[in-house]
Amino acid sequence: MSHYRSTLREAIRAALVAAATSAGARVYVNPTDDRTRFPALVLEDDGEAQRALTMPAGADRVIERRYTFTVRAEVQQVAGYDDARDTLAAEVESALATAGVVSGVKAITPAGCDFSQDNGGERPIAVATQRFEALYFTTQGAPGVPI
Amino acid sequence: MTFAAAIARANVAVFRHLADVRASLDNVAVSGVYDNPYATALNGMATRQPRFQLLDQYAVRTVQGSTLRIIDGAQAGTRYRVSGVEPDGTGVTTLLLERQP
Repeated sequence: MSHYRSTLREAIRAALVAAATSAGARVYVNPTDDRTRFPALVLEDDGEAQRALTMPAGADRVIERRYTFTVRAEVQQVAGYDDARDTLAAEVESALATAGVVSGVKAITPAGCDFSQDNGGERPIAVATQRFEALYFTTQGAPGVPI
Repeated sequence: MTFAAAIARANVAVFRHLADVRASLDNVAVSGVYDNPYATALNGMATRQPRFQLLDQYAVRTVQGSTLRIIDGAQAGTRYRVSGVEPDGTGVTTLLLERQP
């Protein structure tokens, strides 16, 4: 049985590709390889808060899940890198704000953003790491099936 | 001969053999050692770190914002902005380069 997080990540990836952001199809999920072409988006797991909503314990118990993930908007270019980074981040926020973009998820909410920059290479690198929280529910016995 | 003079002579001799790339530095022809190694930054973003090493005497007027254009080799014609000037204290200066469009 696959966890619903697997479905969720793939749906988010597909939504970001379909949104035709400036990163195009360069949307990577928990990558281990270096990214070599930019702009690019990187989706990474952050964590998941879980809470039982019903009693008694058992397979049918409803679990509230708040899955947090980050989308890194990665830009590497000579000029306007900060604006390009923020434009890409805005495209991501917009794409994930669409209701029903991921079936089974009640809401995807922005939860904070961090910025980093590196000037040690041949072009300045700028990154916005946007955190999101995805709210969904499953039963305790079927974490792969949202309710 | 002072130690400093010996080092200066050694640098000239070394660069005579190793300075294999000609470039135009603020429109002045210079020779130096050009490297452009692969590097990663910020958790997996691939980049390059181009740099040009030359004798101090050819970099006296070089500042951040100077321009360097490679004349020889596979990178011939590539233009860079100098983003850093780093004399090593022994007579050799490393220019950190930022690629220009």
